[in-house]
Amino acid sequence: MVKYLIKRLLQTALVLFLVMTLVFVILRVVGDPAKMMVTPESTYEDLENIRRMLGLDQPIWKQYIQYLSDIFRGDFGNSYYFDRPVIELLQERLPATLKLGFISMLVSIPLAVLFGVLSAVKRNSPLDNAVTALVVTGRSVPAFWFGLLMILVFSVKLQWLPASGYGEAKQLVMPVIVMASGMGASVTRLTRSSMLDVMRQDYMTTARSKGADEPSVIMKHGLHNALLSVVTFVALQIGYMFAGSVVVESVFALPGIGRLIVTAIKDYDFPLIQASTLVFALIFSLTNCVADICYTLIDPRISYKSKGGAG
Amino acid sequence: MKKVWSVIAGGTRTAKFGLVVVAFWIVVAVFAPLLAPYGVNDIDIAQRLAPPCWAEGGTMAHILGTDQLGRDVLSRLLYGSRISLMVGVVAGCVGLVIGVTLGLLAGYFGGWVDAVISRMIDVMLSFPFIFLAMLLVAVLGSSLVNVILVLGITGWVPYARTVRAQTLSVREKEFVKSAGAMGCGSLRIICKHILPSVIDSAIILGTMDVGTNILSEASLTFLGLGIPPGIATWGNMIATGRDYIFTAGWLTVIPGVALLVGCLSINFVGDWLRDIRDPRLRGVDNTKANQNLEREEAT
Repeated sequence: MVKYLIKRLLQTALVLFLVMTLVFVILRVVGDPAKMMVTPESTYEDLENIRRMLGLDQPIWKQYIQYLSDIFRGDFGNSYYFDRPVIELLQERLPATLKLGFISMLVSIPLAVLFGVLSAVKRNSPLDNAVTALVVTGRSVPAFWFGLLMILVFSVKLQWLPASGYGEAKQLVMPVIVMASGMGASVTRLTRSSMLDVMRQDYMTTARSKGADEPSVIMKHGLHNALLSVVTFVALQIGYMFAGSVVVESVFALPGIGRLIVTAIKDYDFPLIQASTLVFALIFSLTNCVADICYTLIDPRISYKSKGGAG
Repeated sequence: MKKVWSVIAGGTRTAKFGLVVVAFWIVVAVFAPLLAPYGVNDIDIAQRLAPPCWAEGGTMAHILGTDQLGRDVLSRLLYGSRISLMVGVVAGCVGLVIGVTLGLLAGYFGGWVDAVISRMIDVMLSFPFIFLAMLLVAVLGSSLVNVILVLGITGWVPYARTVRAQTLSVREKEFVKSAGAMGCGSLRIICKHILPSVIDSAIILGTMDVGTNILSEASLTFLGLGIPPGIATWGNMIATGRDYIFTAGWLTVIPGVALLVGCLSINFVGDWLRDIRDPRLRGVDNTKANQNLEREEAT
């Protein structure tokens, strides 16, 4: 087990290193931020000066080594656009994203598991059909459009909720609903399908034939086993929460990390892009890693020797 | 042909609905210039922000109303269907070709080839797809071709994973081994013996991928990192509509409905194809379907 843990952690480290390299290559090879920072009146000399100031005149391998050593020292540099340390900016913006994400998870996951189980147990009932229809629609609705639609109904027509902003609880209602419905749809789908899978197993029949009453069969034998795959999936959701934040924060003008990234990318703000990519990749890889380890711990059938690779 | 009809007739209600909508969509996309009542960029400032015909003040001259420059929403919707369909299908094909090739190589050769490709997959999965797509579009410049390429390049992972896993098991089958024993080269074994048995599931993934790509394109365009504003796409229409959401809600609602119904139909067709290929999965979306979930999350 220890061997597997070490292997998995090394793998995560390797992936993070590759991500850093990939981002470096994409940014350095194709974009030139110096050109974004000059005015039309600037001379070619100004351009060269800016390049020298940012260290972009160095040979590419020197820049790469500088970049890596800075990261290992925890120095992500100053944002080109805001002219402030990147770390500060990330710290400032992270709370809004985390708040939105965690409230959405708290709302969506219990509901998703509940409806997933109910619709699997009462398969083909009106409830199941309704849940399935919602889930299928959820798969095809673009999150940003759903957000705009909510603004249209609740802010423009009914005037119940503010269309954008951050600070009041009221302003979080719509972003949370959009975010939670995205997460909820996939968790419901997975709960339903793994529950259906479990209900066909022999041990369910055995439990029933031993005289256990239906609720306890479903809760103790069914849900317990069905939740195995759901737990891993929920861990992955933490990563996807950040992905969703990019769109949701843009729709509702929330000052989170997702919107920061959109502007950073538009402004060719290299240090900010690099740091935020790394933060994303770190959170993603670590949750992946933790999810994998949890899975092997929870499910005794999975041998950690055969796991690993891309699988 | 008769067989095709009988398969379609045996499909579920949702599958038939999906097929009809997709067929309609293709016809509209092909004949958009003939069907559209106005040119895609015909500006009529006198008629700006005219509501759709069912709303108060709407006229039959502009059935779905007009936008802030007086361009006909219906015409733009029809032209937009071309872009959406093209982006979805072409990007899907790019992803399919890259993914199937890498998956075959990784599964067949194993060893360091597999290690390299598997690490590539890990890297791609280690940050949100939309993030990488935004980065690439920003760096390459936003244009229709770049968006298609970026969606293709970032979309190969599900194909590669599925094909790799299947190749691993097909490689051990007797017909592959005997082909090797008869002296077939690796290329011939891969193309003639392994590819035909793994391509089905890749194509099914591809069907669903079309819907995902269309949504991704719309999301990217909405964020301002997709197709440039001049081109009529559904994503662009929604993005412009957002600025007029307090006065002209139809500009946001109408293209979104088109997007929703279109993607829903593609997913219906995809689900149905999957069920035909593997009836065990009917009504239960198993791991195979869930692999595509990862990309959907991101959009």
